[in-house]
Amino acid sequence: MGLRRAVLVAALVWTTATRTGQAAEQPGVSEQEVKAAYLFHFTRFVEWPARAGADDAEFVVAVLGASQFGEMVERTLAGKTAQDRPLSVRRISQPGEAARAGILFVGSLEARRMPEILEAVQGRSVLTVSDAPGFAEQGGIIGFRVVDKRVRFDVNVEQASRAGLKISSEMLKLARIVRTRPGP
Amino acid sequence: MKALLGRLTIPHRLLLANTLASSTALLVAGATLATLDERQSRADLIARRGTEADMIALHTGSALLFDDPASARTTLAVLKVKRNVENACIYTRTGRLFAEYVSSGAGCAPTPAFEGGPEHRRVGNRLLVARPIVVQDDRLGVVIIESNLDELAAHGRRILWSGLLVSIMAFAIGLAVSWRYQRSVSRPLLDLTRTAQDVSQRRDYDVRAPGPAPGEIGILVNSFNEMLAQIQERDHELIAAKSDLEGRVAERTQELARELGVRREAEDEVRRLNTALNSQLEEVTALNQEIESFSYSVSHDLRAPLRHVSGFVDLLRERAGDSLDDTSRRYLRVIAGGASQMGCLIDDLLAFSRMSRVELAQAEVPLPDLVEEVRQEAERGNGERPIEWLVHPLPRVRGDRAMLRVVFVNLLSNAVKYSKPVPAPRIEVGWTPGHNGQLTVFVRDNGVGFDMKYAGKLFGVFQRLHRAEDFEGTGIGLATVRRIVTRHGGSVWAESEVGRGSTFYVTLARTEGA
Repeated sequence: MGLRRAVLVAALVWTTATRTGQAAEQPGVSEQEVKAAYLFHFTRFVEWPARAGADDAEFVVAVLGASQFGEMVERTLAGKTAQDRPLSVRRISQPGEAARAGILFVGSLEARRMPEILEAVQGRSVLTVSDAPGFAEQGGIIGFRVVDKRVRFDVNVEQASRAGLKISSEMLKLARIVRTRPGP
Repeated sequence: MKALLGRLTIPHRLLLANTLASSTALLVAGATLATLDERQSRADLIARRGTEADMIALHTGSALLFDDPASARTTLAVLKVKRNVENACIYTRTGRLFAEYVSSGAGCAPTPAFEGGPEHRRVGNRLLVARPIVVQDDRLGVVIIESNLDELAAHGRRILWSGLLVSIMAFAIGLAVSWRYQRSVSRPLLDLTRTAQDVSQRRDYDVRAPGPAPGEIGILVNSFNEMLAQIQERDHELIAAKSDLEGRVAERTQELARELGVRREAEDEVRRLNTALNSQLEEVTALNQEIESFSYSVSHDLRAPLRHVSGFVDLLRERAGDSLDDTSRRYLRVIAGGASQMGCLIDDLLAFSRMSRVELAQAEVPLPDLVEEVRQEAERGNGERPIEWLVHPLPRVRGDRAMLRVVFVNLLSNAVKYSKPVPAPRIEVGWTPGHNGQLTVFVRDNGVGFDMKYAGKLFGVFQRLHRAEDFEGTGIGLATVRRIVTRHGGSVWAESEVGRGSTFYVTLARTEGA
């Protein structure tokens, strides 16, 4: 019977692998990897105001509260550039550290202190991204969702323009546009 | 084809030439334009497809990046307004089919036909145009639009039909224009032709080709009219000259008729005279024959009594010679001399009449031999007085040798005889050529000569210019000469001057080849 279990497990593993494969460009690419790549892709479709971090030598992607994903982002963005500057990934623990970042990724585990985090980057040109459900409706700018085993995203255009960011229509046409819903 | 062309009139020829020229020009221009247009529309089509592919590439980069085939399909779906696009395919960087749009046909191949650069390819009746999908220098994939070439063919057909229509219209307009124009060229020519025909058929030089006509044809028409005017003028002159000439001919004809009448009268006169002459000649001939036979018989009959006279004188002299005195004996001598002289006369007369009767022998006679023979004979009768002879080389003649001998005997002996009183006698015999195969032999002496007023009597019978006491002779010799020469078809005459000598001429027939 041990053999039977082994076969079942193997089949499960294969199925999972296949599903993940469908979700990404290449088989064997995980959802996390896709999201990390999307973070980089966003830099191509979003226009930051010129003054935002203009004196900085690097374009900073801050990752808050998702140390494992942070590592993956580091690996994915290594050696790449955005807005004509080298990309630099910072794993932070306090929202205040993200004040000078171009992109702030907020892990889903940080959902309970989301208002505080958003408060911290209020008025700054920071593209906030999170895979926490309903992130964009809560006042974030881009929220990841998984639809049909593909990683999709919501965009809160209102918040983006409030942050001084211009998101390309090319990207918007792929997104679900959402508005900020008054929190509970 | 040439025979057909030959039958065409000038208007049709001009029309044909114009039509051929304009058709050729239209054809060449049309073919060139069609070729250029075909090339251009092909390039346009490729450019159009390229632009479409560019647009799609531009708007599907994000879909590729964010793995959203649905969005890419939406973008591709705009191609459905393009009827000739059969399908459009987007492949990822790794060659996987990402999104497709299929209008008709087989759809997208599982792998891209191109590596990725902007390019196009024609496969049969299909045009494949590829454009890379690039986002910020990242080549994410490729879009390939496949379309049929129906619109090219349709365009070609449209060009063909419109070209045909334009050609037909241009041809018709050209035909109308050239018909109008050629009339300005051909009408004067046709008029000219008609005028020329009128002139040549009716000989009517009053007509003129209508003018004016443009250019060289005008010059031609004017020249033709001028020519007609000149011909007309000349014609008038000719008619005048002709009537003048006719008048003169009539005049001359009358003159000639008159002359002819005169001449006919004269001829009648001549004929009448000839007839008279002939009858006289016959009379004379008959008379001559009578005389000849008479003189022959007389001569013959005279011989017998004469023989009696001389015979009996001889008998008398023998019988009574010694008894007679001197006077009687002298009388007897005179009687004997007279009888002897008479015998000679009778002999000569007989010879003369024989000359008229005997048949002529026709033979070749070598004159040099004959003359030399006669000369020696004449020399013997001369005695011891030396004569200077000058005999030129003589030819052969045709005639009777014996009779010709008589001729030369008479001529040479006369020359010797009448040269006797001269201290240094000189006799020359020679000849000169004459007409019709005749020649003239002459015998010239430096003797006593004679008075030319008696030249007519010279060749008559018994005609003597000198006294018998001065030169012996019977007076028959030259008559005999004339008779012989005349019978040979020749003539004889003499030239002389008293005291300076005489020359006798005889014409004789020359032998052929001599």
